[in-house]
Amino acid sequence: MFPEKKTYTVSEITAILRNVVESDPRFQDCWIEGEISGIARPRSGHIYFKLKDDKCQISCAMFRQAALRLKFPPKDGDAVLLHGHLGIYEVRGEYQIIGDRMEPAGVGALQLAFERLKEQLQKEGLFEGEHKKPLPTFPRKIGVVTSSTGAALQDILRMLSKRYPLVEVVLCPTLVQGDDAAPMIARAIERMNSFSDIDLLIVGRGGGSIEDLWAFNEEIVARAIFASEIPIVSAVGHETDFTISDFVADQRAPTPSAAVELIVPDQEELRRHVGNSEIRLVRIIRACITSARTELSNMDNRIVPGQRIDAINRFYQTVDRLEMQSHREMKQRLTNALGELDGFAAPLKQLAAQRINTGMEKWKVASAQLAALNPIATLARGYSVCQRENGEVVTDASLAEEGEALDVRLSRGALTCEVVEKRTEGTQGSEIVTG
Amino acid sequence: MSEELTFEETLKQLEDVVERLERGDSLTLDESLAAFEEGVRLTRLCRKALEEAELRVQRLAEDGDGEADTPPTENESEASHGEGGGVA
Repeated sequence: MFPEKKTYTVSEITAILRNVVESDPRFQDCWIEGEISGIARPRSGHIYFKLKDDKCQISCAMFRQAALRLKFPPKDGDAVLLHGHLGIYEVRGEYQIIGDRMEPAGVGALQLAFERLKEQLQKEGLFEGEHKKPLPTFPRKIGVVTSSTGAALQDILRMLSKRYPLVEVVLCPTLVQGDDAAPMIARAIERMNSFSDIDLLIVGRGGGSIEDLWAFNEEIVARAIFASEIPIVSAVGHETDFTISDFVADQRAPTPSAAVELIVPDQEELRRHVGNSEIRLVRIIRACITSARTELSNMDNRIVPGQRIDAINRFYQTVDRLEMQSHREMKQRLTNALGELDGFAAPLKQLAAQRINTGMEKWKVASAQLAALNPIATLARGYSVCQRENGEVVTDASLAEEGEALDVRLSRGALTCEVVEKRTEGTQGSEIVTG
Repeated sequence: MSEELTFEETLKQLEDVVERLERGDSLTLDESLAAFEEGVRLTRLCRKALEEAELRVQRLAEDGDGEADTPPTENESEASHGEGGGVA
């Protein structure tokens, strides 16, 4: 009788329908253009309305959360773009669009174009991280593509002067709004790429309405940025503005000034870094001197064979030179430091000077101590070194033979003496010799 | 900057010298002294470069037919750097 087909319950067929709708991506993420009619705003905060064109209409709902985010109050007759997904309202057997975003049609059209291009370029891989070029740490020549009369250029130049004036700027002036802007910007990027010595490009403009910034949402600009061999930082509008250029560029800066902060180091930091290096240099060279001094006193303790004196003298000479050299460097450095303190308050300067003087005093004392350790200086004070012919130093009278010839080294020259008498008594161990 | 070194290169050399000295690497006293002198010289170069730096701005010709301007070679940029240079 009846065909042998399955009979569905209402719920079953509704579930199947729902499944069809929900599994089709076209229904799940769509923009619909139309005119609002029959809008209702119950106290729940949800909004219900129909979208219609000249032939058809479709029920729409925007739930409270989405409705709260609307930037304009929709009313009957408004031409709008609605984004959302198709849903089945099972209780009443109706289908409807559940909207999550809605824009007035004018701006909405731009928004739509933006979304479409963004999606397309994303699909092509233009935003992929693998295409992002690293920015040079110390750019030498920076290309700027922006209006020659805009605030962006002034901001960029001012920031560069302040942060890192070592760079050279090449400006390629372009329009940055209006229909001619996009092709001009694209051409400027290409021109910059014809020069071999530009390290980095800033492409951008100051803030404005979405229409003002539109050139940076154009495909031709996006493709020029992507094709650029030179790394590009995009700097369009204010922090909250995102353009297609931002997605394609190697790096996005929230504003033109921020772009400068991204691309060049801060000279104050560099100065500190150089200063630290200098402090480290001085510290190391002082450590070298200290260890040389230690080595020297070790040698003094072992100064038995006379032939080593020459070697030791040479060593002293090197240390002296090193010490004088670093002393001079220190002095210069400290003078410079004092000069730099000019801008600070006088008490601070005085304190610093005091500390520096203390440091210099310590240095002098250390130098004097070093000089005192010098065996030559010891000889100059009237001591002498008594040696056998084989160079052995005689430090004990009992070890000398009467009649033996000994060599006595003085501050200047040496004497050959003969031992006339040995006196071994007395801890001072004085040996009597005659010339 | 002397010897045609860029700031970056000078700074890098300075860092290398400091590192070499700090590592010690069995430097003789004379070698340490020479490295120290070199380091001090490089710090001066770095400072001087920062002191004397002045932003140079070169403006390409308005796009028009696009071919009127010349590439920014070293000489050209010297010649034209007065323009916009008052920004500092």
